[in-house]
Amino acid sequence: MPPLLELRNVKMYYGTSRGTVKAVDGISFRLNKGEAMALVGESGSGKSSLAFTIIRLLPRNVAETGGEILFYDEELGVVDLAKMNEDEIRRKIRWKKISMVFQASMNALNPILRVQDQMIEPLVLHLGLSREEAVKIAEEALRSVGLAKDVLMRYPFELSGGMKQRVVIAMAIMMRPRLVILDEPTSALDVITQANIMNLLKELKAKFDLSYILITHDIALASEIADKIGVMYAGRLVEVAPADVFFRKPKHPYSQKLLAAMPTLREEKSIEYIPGDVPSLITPPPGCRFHPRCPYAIKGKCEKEEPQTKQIDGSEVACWLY
Amino acid sequence: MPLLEVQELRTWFPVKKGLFSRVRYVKAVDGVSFALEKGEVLAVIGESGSGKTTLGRTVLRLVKPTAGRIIFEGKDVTNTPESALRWYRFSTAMVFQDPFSSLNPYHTVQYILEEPLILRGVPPKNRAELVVKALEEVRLVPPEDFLKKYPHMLSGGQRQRVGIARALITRPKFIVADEPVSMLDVSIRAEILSLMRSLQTKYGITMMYITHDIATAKYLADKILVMYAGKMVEYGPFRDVIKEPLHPYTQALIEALPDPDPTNRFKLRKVPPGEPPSLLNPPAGCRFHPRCPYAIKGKCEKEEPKFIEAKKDHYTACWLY
Repeated sequence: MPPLLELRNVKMYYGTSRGTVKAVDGISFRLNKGEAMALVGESGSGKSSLAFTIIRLLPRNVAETGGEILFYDEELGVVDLAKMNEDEIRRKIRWKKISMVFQASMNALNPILRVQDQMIEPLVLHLGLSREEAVKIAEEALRSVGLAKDVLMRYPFELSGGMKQRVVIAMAIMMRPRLVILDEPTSALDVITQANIMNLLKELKAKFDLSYILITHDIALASEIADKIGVMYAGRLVEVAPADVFFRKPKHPYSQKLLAAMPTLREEKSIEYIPGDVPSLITPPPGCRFHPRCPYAIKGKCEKEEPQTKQIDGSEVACWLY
Repeated sequence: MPLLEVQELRTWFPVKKGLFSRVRYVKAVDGVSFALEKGEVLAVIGESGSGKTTLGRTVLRLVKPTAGRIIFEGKDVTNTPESALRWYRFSTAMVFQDPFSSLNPYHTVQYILEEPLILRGVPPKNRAELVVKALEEVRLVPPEDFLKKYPHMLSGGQRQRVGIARALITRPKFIVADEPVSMLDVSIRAEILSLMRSLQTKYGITMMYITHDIATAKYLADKILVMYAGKMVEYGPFRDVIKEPLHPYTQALIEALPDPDPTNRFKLRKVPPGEPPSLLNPPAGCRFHPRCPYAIKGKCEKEEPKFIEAKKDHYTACWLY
């Protein structure tokens, strides 16, 4: 499969009064066309920061960025998003090529604006389309997420949670982007609504040949859509593996622990928990960042040297055990 | 004799739109019955707006019931005035959903845990000892490190452990835990669940575990009660209900829940479309009929199904049985 997005040693640090937060600290991976990748990890592992770094919505207090974010496109050729300025990103990339469904974004809809006005705003303001064109595009997008076009004339409070989430997804896909970043797209929804939204995402992926980056802390949910799993820990990607390999044989001890901690309904297993807390991103532990919580930590090695990423039967894993 | 018996409980909230309009009711809990023996854990499952939280609050008498009976240790507490309810308050406790807003930010962990003891008149000397023990029990060790901390200095998981310690410090007989792990990361959920399980077993606490997530309930519950739009639709032993759910709504809840399996991505889940109805104006007949794949025309939308024992100890309200 041809590549769509390639990250090479991407960094994004931001400054706070307590020090520099290394939220994204040297991340590299490749996402192919039509592929869905899930980024999993606990809160504070840098998943959302990575998403914001890719779509270039950097925090105001950003202290340092680095690395290359290569985007492969038929129209634009190969472009490095990290080197584009905000104006170029806004005109060429955001919404058109890469869009994002933000965490809890269904609650970010403006309560005093009709759905239509919110949907067409980016099209009119950022992409310079006429109002009529924009409305037509919005209507079409609503249809593809299973909503009638009269939703355009409604206010957000008239819609249920699931419908609002569909509106937000419609906004993300209306310019036919190649990549949609989904940041916890179902975290505020009920289980049945969540299943309906995941069904919709699967259908849209097939219909428009979309690629997804799904950010979630729920590994079971990740298995609903991901062809590939990336596990983040303290600003680092510790394992990237195809879904079939990952769920059968997770390699990194942290991945193993995450899976073992997952409550399951059908499978008979007792759940284990991961002792300790997620480390601070201001002063991450030296060596392998997981070593203070790792049951297999090798004395004299793991706490000193940082493991390099290695290829082992289809997985890429950064751990001294391999 | 069961420790807690709830019969045909109803909690309706009056709403009045405009000055002269008729009073209408949000029927948040509409005819719920169950019984719990000492040490049993009941999982109350339902989506948001199903009335599960109102049920928990009503059983604890934090909300006044509209009709029905709540019998605790053989005594009817349904309409007991607050002044005569102190013993019930002392026998029960609640663990809240949101550990970020249920702890007073101006109080130290020590005071948060001490307060229920002060209310019960425990002498200061014993209080300090009990607080330290409570912290050890929820594995906030060493306790000295946590006593003087304020809630904002703790992580979500640590706060929820303080919440559990506060509920258990008075050794209540009955606890309502309302979504205690839903705001926490999956990796921390496991720890809190196993902690709750071990303390519940150790002290033989009877518990109502309110959640929308059947998977977490599996690690605690002996019995399950499924609610939809204020009504109970299924009730029975946890294992039996999960193995063979009778009500189409329970079936949908189970189907909607993924287990981690890479083949999930190749199939669509068979779940009903739509969302739960408004409690102000629920559908006639069976409240699930507009979304039900098996709805029987001329029946389900007209008559409300009775709650029947479809299998031994396994109850459901559905016209299919």
